[in-house]
Amino acid sequence: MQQAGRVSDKTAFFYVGELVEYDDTKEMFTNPKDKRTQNYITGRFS
Amino acid sequence: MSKLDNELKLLKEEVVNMWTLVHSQLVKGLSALLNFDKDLAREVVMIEKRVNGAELKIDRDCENIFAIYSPVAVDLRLLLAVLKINTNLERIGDIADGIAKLIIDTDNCFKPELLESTKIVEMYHEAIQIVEEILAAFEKEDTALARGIFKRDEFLDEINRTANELITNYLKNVPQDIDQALNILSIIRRLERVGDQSENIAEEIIFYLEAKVIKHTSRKER
Repeated sequence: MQQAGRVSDKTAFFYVGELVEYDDTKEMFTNPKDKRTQNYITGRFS
Repeated sequence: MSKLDNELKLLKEEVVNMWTLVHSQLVKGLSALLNFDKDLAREVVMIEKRVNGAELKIDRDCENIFAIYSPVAVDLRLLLAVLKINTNLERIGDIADGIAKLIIDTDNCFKPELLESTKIVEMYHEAIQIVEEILAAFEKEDTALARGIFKRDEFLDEINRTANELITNYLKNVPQDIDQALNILSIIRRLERVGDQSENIAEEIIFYLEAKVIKHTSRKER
């Protein structure tokens, strides 16, 4: 997860085949818009 | 509950405990002012040491959480907010400590007419309520409550603005009370800063919950 944050400018989060969120990496890792993205990047599910 | 969740829960509890200490300093400070109770004022000074200890512990815990868990998103914002709330709370503790020391250094009981004409007691009550409300906003994660602080702080600002004139008028009639009047003016200035620190805390709560930076924005934009 941290590697993805370090090397990319943009990040997309897919969940069971669905594109949940796509944004600038900085935005995604500080203020994700979707609750599922937030729960995933904060390690609440994997 | 994950380990990080547990750490954050404990951290929040530590912040609430520190908040309770600072609140007790303000409440005891008011009582010491009204009853001219120097022992109670000394207690406020003693509590300050515990507040300072709590500040260091919270700083250290935040550092450890950053190092071990590399938090992101809402967890990262919580930690950043807690670091700043911690500093602001400690400053409110310093202010309460400063007020208590002024009471200890005052020779005679504060004159009721001086307290009444300067509205310092109302101001003190309002400052305590602001600290209580901002704590409730943090505990309930309620940004509407946090935004309410900006309006309430205006009352403290208003009393602070009129304080010079009120004290001057009072001293025209009772010039021998100059020492007491200057101490009251100093307490008013400090209470106004309690409002400012509380506003900073409100801004941090909003940042944590809404990811919005409202520092240095106008009241309308908030």
